[in-house]
Amino acid sequence: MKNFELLALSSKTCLKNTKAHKRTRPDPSPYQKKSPSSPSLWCALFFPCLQGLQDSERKKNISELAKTISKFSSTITIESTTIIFEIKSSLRYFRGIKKLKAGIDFSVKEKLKFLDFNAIFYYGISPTLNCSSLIAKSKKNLFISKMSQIKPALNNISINYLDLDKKQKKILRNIGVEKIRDIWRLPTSGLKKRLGERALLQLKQAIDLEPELIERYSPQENFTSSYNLPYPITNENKVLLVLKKLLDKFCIFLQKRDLSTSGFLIILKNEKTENIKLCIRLRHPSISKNYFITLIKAHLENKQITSPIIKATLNAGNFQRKDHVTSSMLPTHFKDCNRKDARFELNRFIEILTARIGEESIKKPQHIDNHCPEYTALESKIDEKTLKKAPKIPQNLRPIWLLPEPRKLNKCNHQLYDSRKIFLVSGPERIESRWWKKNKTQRDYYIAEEDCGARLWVFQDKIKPGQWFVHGVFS
Amino acid sequence: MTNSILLKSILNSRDDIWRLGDETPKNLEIYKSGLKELDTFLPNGGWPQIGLIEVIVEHYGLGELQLLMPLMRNLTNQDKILLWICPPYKICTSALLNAGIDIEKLLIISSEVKKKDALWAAEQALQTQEFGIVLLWQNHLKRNALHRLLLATKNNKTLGVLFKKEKTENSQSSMILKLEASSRKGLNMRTKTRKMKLQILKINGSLKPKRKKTITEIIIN
Repeated sequence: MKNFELLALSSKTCLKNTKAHKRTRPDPSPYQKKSPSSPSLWCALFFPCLQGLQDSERKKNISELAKTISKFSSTITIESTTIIFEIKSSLRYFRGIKKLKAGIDFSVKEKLKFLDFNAIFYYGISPTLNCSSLIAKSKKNLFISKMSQIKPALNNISINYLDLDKKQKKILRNIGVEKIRDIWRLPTSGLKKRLGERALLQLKQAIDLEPELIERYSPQENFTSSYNLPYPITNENKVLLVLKKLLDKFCIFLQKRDLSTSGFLIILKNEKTENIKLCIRLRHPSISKNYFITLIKAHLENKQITSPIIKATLNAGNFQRKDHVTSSMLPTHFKDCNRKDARFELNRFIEILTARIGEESIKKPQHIDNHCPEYTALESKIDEKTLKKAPKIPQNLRPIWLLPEPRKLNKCNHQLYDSRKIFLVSGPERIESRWWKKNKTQRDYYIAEEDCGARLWVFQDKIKPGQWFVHGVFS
Repeated sequence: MTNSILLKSILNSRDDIWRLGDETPKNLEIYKSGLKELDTFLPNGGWPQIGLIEVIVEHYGLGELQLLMPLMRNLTNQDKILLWICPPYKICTSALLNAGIDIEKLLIISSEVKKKDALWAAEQALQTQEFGIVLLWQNHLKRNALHRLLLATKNNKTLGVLFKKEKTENSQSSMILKLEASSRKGLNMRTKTRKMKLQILKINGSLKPKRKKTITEIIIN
């Protein structure tokens, strides 16, 4: 009988056991026999004051609170508005749970006051991470030290606190499930069918039937290092030598923390003029000193050092966990067919190009469905998000090149001239802007041919009759 | 007599020996141009996969890009990136979509960049395997700049195409193919096609183009 009925039975026995400590009955659930007793103790802190904040604001505040918690635990994980951390390893150091809890309470309240929030938060302490989180979110403020107490504690918690979407919660409510205890009674196979495998994972993890995976929080660090030059320098190569020294320090900093960076800022302080700022941005986080030097060289290529440099500073704060690449263990042909590696090379190329010619000079075309030719083609920056909607393929013939502004054509004896004679070949195709738009346009477009054979896209302005313009070139 | 025949047969059996008068290197990998007449006209039956091609036009917009449209469509279908450096005008995406080119795989380097930066970008791109084709619009290129671009194409599978407006006597360069394109007047109204005159000015591997046919007319869109 592999279902939650058994678990429900076991939960009932647990309740009985907790109520009458003297009575001991063997646990009928096969699941509990399998699960080993957890050696950990997790504390979850739920902050209702962070609910309703914008994502970036919430992340900023919760990481500030997590920094405070890092005084009490080395294993911290963040779940939206809840911080969960392991405390069993800290009990001895803080001389017991009471003193530890008092310390956490005091520090967190102080931090919340400092951040201008109500000093209200809820906690849950239990042997499993998910159970602690559920207790804290349901605002129960419970401390559970034994595995056997988990299920009775979870019984009265509403299903609203489970990680289920609206549809899944509705399904549960429709079958009369309001509290977690109701879930225990239902057969697991049926629940799996209706809600999916993942929906039950949180509960299984809460009662220690499944292992819990955590994403560790690590406090964001900043790196700043500067070098005061013994004498002013104008030579680019000498500046590069100084920067190499700073990069040495920076790379050691990254290596020690097993981090990689996705950008840093170099400030070259001038004696007279404005400081030179080199903003290095990477599309793929990196730790390679040689690559950083290549990017700096590309940057310096277009920046002339006119007045002597007296100080160089390197600031970095955007770190990521380093990707452990094991490609060296793979044969080269395997590496070659990996698309990720290929795009990696492209990203590197774009990074170096951006460093040399600037982000604004590299563009990618974007198509917008609009009948007015000026508005169909946009050129966006390389890192700008483009519209994912598949563009409608236009049916009418369009030129490859568009002039930045339509160029006026000369007319002499009913003959159009640009630099040469122009003859209309086909058309017209009427294109006009929407009537509610301010700048009304009404044009009759024609395909025209020049004397030399070049095909042009010309139009006659219907608002200013008699005026002809060339708008595009068919290459 | 027998020695000379023997020598000839040995030389003929080897593809890696170039002899004076050979038209093109024999083992040149090619891309089909997508235009039948062009394939028969081009050496080895298509565009070379590696190297630098020079296309000379009187002025941009005569139809020179139409020669490469089917190739670019195939390259984007193969997930290759196209790089256009310093295009002379703004690109009309409708025309590219009409030609079946995936504009998601097109990168443009603005014509506002300095000439030396444009050439540097082209050199870097030609050294990268990621690009299927690199198109560069530049006039008045010095011989050393051209030589650097040619060296960049040597070890990679990237085709570079240089569009120029002026005809220079720069024929000592080891450009793999040098073409002159000019448009013929007269648009076919039914098929919306026109004719383009193509002339081979230089092919890599021969002192002079020894082909019987160095000029042709190709129907393009």
